[in-house]
Amino acid sequence: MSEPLLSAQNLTKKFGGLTAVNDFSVELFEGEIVGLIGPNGAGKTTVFNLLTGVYSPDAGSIRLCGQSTARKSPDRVTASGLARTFQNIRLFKEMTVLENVKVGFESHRTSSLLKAVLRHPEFRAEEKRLHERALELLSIFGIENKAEDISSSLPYGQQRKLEIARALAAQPRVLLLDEPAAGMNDSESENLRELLHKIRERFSLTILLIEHDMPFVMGLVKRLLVLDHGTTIARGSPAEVRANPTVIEAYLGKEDEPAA
Amino acid sequence: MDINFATLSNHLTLIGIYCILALSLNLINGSLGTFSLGHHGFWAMGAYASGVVVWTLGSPHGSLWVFGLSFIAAMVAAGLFGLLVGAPCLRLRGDYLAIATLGFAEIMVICVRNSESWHIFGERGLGGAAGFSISETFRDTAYHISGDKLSGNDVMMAVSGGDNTTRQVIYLVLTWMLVALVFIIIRNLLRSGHGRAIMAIRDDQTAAELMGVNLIRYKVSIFVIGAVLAGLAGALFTNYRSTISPGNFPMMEGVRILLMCVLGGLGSMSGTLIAVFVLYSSEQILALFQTPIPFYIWNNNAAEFQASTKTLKDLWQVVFALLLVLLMLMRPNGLMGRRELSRQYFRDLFQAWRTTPFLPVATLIQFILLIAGLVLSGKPIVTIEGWPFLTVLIWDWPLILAFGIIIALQLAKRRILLRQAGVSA
Repeated sequence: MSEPLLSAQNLTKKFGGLTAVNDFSVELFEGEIVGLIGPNGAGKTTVFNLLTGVYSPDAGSIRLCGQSTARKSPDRVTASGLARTFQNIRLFKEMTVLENVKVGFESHRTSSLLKAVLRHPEFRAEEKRLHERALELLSIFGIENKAEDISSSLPYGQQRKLEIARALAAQPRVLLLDEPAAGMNDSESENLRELLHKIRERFSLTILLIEHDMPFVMGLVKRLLVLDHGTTIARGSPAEVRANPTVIEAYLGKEDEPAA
Repeated sequence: MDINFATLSNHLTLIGIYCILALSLNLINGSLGTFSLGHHGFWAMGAYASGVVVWTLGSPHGSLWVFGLSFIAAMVAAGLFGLLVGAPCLRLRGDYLAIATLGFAEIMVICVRNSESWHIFGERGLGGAAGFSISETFRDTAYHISGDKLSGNDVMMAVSGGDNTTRQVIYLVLTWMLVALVFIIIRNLLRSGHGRAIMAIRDDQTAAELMGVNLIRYKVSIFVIGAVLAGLAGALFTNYRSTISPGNFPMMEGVRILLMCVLGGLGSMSGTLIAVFVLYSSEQILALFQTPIPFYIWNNNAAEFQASTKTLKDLWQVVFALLLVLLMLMRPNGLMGRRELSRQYFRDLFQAWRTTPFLPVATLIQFILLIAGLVLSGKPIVTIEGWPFLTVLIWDWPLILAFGIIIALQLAKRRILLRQAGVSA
């Protein structure tokens, strides 16, 4: 296989005395969907924050599309082809659905502030193009009829979808999804799974996702990583991971312990 | 007291200057969501920079060129000052940023206060001896009015007098053209990708950064743009007033500009403009109250309680503060919240009025009460073609009664609107 699209080597992040992520490595190849699972507090979201540049790692390196991004600020990481969603939805609450998506175009906008103030034809053309593209993205998720609504007025499931649409607007090559199916019922998460397959095909995406919903993960990914206390305790296909005694122990506790 | 066109246009020009200041602060505080408290510093910077240019290059025989240059100098100076303040301070959050910006503004004013060079005469002010004129054509008028060795107040009196109507009209038109220009610039800015990025920073800084928004670049550039526009207001202020002193830019001015933004609704441009008018004119109206306050004050010399000779006029600031408290209780998000006076706004308003006829009736009654209160309370002091235009309040109680009923109606309207929205009042 060719060079991985995203590769993180030996990432370590400490908060004071707590090692949130210890010696974490991952390689994502073009077109893959990889799952990242683990019990609460295992350091999954910290891994995302390291990959996106919110935290800078204490040790280790990150390469995205052949460039090192370990010391870049989040906006520059996004510009080099990475986008993410959030565990607790972080939409721009007072802006409309359409505006939320348009913010995602930020790193691909070219017209200057002066052109915007002067309403230069170039600016108008770009705005029109962005408007159409934003509507197109919304229509993939079936929320184009709510384009002018304030984003916080959407129902929960649609807010999750809007977050993904906003992330797609950044034209990422790698998409990080933090619990996209959280709080969804079975049919909703089934619907989401189909959507993820669809957008992966359409935008030729590589996806790394955190998820607690096991059936959801198992049906979606070919490869899983399991984190516990910041350490990678298992990796492999869903079936392998499910059978791994260390994983079962991390999730359910040791077998010989009396059930509480 | 006599009020004529000159006084009215003087007020309108000052309102225009406050509009530019409030709009530019609203860009920083409302749209970007960072809390700056030092806008009067940028204003003073612009005012002094333009004053120094005019006095060095062309006083008192100014020319249109020096006039233009003074505006450019003011904007550049204020912008550089904004960069100097913003670059380090915008890394701070919330209250810390407010304190840092206030500190810088005060430093600026104190520096001016203690300066004795570049025609800045410390506390005595800049340009105290003569007025600036805006072109050769009006130079003579201004020179004639200001004469020589007049104090700032004399110049103001001269400026408010009747014989330089042309100058007044020019400044009035120029000011409001600049207000319109500033309004359009800010509106265009907000309705663009840059504007969306700015509002994204306001709504969720971390998420914005992760969507590719460069936080520092946007924050600093918006802060600088706000400062440049405040500098513009400063240049206008200096050239119009002909004389400025550090006393024109106390901390209370910064607070007043902030108040205009908060009262109008942080993030609402039309709300800000309304609030500037409301605040400015209510200050002026309250200062006209003449009713003695029925208080007894202990007189030490006579060793007895004596009836207070103070009138409401003397206490207008207290009344003003109470009105503000009341307004913020009734409308915690300011007059307009984040809405604008758009077509949609009027459509919603009309819809609400149609479904609940009490609302427009109450609004009409409130309006009539306000006018009736003003008319009943005072004697006319200005007549424009036979119409009583502005009055000195010699008899406040009809107006106070009217205010009481207006507030009661406002509360009733609010209750109805809240009930309609499904919230129990």
